[in-house]
Amino acid sequence: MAIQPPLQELSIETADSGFYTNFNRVVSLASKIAIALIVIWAAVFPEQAGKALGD
Amino acid sequence: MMFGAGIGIGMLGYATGEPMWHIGDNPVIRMSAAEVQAALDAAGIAIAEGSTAWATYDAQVAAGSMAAIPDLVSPKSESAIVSTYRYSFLHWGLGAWACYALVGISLSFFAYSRGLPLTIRSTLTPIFGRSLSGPVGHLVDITAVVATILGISQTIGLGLDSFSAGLYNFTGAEWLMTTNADGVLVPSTGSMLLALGVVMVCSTLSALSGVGKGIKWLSNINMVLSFALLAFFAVAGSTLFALQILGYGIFDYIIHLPAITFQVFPAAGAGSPGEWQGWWSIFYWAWWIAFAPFVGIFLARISKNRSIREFVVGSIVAPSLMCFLWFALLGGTAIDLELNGSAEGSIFAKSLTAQLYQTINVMLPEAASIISILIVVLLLTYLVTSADSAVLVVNTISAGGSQSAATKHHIIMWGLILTAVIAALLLAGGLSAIQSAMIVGAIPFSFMMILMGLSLLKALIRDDMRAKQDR
Repeated sequence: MAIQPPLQELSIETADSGFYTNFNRVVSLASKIAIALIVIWAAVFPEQAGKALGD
Repeated sequence: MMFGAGIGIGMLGYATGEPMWHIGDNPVIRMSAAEVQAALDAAGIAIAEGSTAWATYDAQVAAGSMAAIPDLVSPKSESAIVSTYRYSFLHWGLGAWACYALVGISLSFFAYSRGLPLTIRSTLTPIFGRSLSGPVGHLVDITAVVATILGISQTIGLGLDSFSAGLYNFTGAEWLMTTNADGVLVPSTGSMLLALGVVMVCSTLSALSGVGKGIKWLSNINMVLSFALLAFFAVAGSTLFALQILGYGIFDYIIHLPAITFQVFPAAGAGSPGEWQGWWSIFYWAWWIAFAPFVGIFLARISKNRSIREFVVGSIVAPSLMCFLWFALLGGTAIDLELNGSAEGSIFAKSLTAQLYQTINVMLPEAASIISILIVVLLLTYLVTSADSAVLVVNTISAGGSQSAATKHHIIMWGLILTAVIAALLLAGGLSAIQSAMIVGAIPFSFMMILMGLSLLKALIRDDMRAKQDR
């Protein structure tokens, strides 16, 4: 049985206009939101975050 | 350039401090301590208040009321040197660089041999195929971006700690430091936040100077300064002692590598080897993994047209040996100064990142300020190149592998986000909060790395089968 040729093309959708031109909107926004949530949690509830992430 | 992209900060922070901590406490010492405790219990000898099991045992043996236990490894002694370097080399040797190389080789293979985009999702195409164009691929890249940001936060946090300790060493400005719960002088949060502001402004300016331009210029500076520091330790440090450590250490590390790589101690509470492993080895596993997409993309970018064999030698063996040399020279000098009595316990008494500066204070007090300034400048260049590279890597992943999509707005935005996450975590719980967040961020990417290894293996086997079929 012949082995299929390997995948040699993978299209990744990127925005055509706006701030995210040439960027993938989902990856850019979701990763920023994930990091922003950590920042907000640590900034708004520093004691809780400190306790959860501390020693 | 490879060391400028993150690893240099870790090496400067840990090359002296880690061996100094391990010579006082490592799993082998803890196992010996358990033996001592068991022998004291069996002999019905109680430990006097304010004393320790080791001191009680030494006193009993000296008094002849107890037989010496053979092959014990006691803390802060010559007997602990070999095990100290066994674990230091485990944390900075082949295992660490293999994590980076796995991501680097996978990315290079799929980007340059297959022509796929230079982004993390491409490395999983043999398993998930075209579905990586959609949500599955997005999830892979998001995981890599989050791991990269948290991994570089840990590295920058550590660098800021070393930076503030260095500033204090030559300025003596009290506000830079504070006393922690153990009574040890450590950098204050305020000084680290100020340093963070300086570093992030410099790194954003460097990143805005264009891909590679700022990094290349700063990398040249930190390469010269790194070799100057290494040469200083080779000339003024305990070089013969360090070379002995290097030889014995590498031999012992290779002999024990399979065992210590796969050994997981049970979590048996305070004083157990398992507790130590949680503090050190598990932290390092997470750090390697969180840092792997960042260093991996960096390695891939500088490894076009290399064979896998060349890649392994150039990105696993060579940097491991370089790390071993640093740890042997810097850490070995500090250990020698303590064991021969010159330091009188002053290096042991410092915080992990301040131990490098204290070693220099003891080695050459006349030149300590100048060398401290050199280290602080070196740290600054490492911090700037690392943050700069991280922003470029994150933008590359977000742009589906394109290295030219990022505009100055994207660079500034990621610079601000990186500053915010480090500052918020520092304020919430200091370096330990950054460390815990980094471990959490590394967990999802660890599964990606397992899949990446399987994926690369599948692609290589299939290529081989295709070649045989064609013949």
